[in-house]
Amino acid sequence: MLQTKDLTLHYSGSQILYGIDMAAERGQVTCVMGTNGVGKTSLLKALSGTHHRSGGSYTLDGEAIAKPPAHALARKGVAYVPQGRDIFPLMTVRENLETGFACLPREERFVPEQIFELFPVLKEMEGRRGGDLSGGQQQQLAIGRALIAQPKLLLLDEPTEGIQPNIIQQIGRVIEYLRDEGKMAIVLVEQYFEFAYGLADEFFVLTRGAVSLSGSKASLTKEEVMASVSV
Amino acid sequence: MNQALDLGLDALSLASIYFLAAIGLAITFGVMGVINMAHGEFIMMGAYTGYVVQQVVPDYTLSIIIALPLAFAVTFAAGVAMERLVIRHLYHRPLETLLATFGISVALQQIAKNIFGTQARPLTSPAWLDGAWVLNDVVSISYIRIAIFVLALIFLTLLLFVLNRTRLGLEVRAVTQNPRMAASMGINPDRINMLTFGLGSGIAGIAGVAIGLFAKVTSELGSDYIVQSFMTVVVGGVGNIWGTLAGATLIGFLQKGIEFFNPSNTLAAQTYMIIFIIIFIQFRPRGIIALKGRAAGD
Ligand SMILES: Nc1ncnc2c1ncn2[C@@H]1O[C@H](COP(=O)(O)OP(=O)(O)OP(=O)(O)O)[C@@H](O)[C@H]1O
Ligand SMILES: [Mg+2]
Repeated sequence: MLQTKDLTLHYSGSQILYGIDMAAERGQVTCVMGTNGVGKTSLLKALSGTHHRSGGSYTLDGEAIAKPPAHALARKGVAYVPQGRDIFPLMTVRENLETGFACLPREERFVPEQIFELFPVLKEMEGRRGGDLSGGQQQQLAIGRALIAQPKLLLLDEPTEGIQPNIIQQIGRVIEYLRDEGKMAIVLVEQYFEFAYGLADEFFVLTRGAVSLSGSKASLTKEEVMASVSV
Repeated sequence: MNQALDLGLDALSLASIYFLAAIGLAITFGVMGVINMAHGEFIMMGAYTGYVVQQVVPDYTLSIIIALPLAFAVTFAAGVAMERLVIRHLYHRPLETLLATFGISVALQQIAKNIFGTQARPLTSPAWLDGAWVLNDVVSISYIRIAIFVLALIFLTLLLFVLNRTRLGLEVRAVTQNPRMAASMGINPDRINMLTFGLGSGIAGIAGVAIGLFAKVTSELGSDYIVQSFMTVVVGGVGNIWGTLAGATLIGFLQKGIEFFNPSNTLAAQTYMIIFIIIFIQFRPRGIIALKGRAAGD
């Protein structure tokens, strides 16, 4: 589904990512791990087109992706839940969800009931402004919003950051549900080890902008993965 | 009593003129944050469009009906061209935007002077707008002012509808609140910025036709309104249309009030007004209608 080869990324001269080879499949959770500042968010930016890679290749479903603007990638089925959530603060919860309609043909522009089933709080808060929600509610909204356009690749950047345990559990259940549905590949960037380990099918561990360890859950022991992400 | 009513009506109609003049700016400056010094020239362009139409179509009613959408089209196109060629390279650089658009403003005035000359061109209103609605000896209000008031109301409703109830409006708000995230949701921010700027400019064009009906159409028409327009948007509260309405009302009543107590000296009246506004902004820096709550980033 998703494949990168030798992907590199720079911020005005300073190199952040070094030759990332990575893959993610439909119906699997591919977990990207690593300590602060190793370039996890930068990798998701390259995949979502919000900051383009400087070299290497990127293919989606066999299609080579050049460096299209982010909105074009979104229309190809890449949905992004950024770190910090980026809710539209002055728009209602419903309107936040509806921004995703941009990727859909006119006749498919409705909010599927499924989204409210996954996140009942969004139904309750439908008319509330996004910026007035709590952090946990905003995270649920950000994930719900990413699902509107039925993506084939879902990019999640630290969805548990600053969120209380019961909401984390709920988000975990949603990710499992989406994986088992099998319609999308899920790339999860996460530092909360137990959460990530529990959900992951595949691991990619980054160290200073390069992949230092990768493999399926079966091929790696928990201790190996844990050791590779501890400072 | 009558005098107060007369003054009130005067102020109200001045307020609706300011509202009309400022509402396009409420979009380009208020919503998008672009300081467009050439906003007044879009008003002028609209007024000249009306004048040109009247040269071709002699029937005054028909010509106004043609002029309104045509002025929108002309200034919409001019706005889109300006956004594509200049503004989009200068987003988030207010000083450069100010200088560049000021340059464009001067250039547009000069072009208008070259084409239409320096003398004022008439934009004649249809006969049915000529009279006045006479309440009694003291209080009367010309139909044209009523028409402008009605036009202002129509605009208010239309714009609120577009921004809050249409797909375009939703995308405009998404792009202005977070362009990067809007793009990640599949919205093309370039296209939306272009259309939004075009919309604001087009509305200025329509306002130009209305203003041309009672003011003299000259190349300086726009500069007469640019300061008041910015004041209206800033006083009302940047980023929302209701604020612009409130700002126009305040400034309209204020100006008429000052003129009433100080009838002979317009320069002094202007000065008092600017002093008042500076003081006002000190106390309410976000304008009359400030966005409230956690969402506003307090
Ligand atoms: N816009 C930017 N301009 C310059 N440098 C940047 C920019 N964004 C990130 N960096 C740098 O790139 C490196 C990787 O940042 P990135 O945000 O990808 O890390 P991360 O792995 O997501 O970290 P965290 O776990 O803290 O979220 C950091 O050293 C950071 O300082
Ligand atoms: Mg990060």
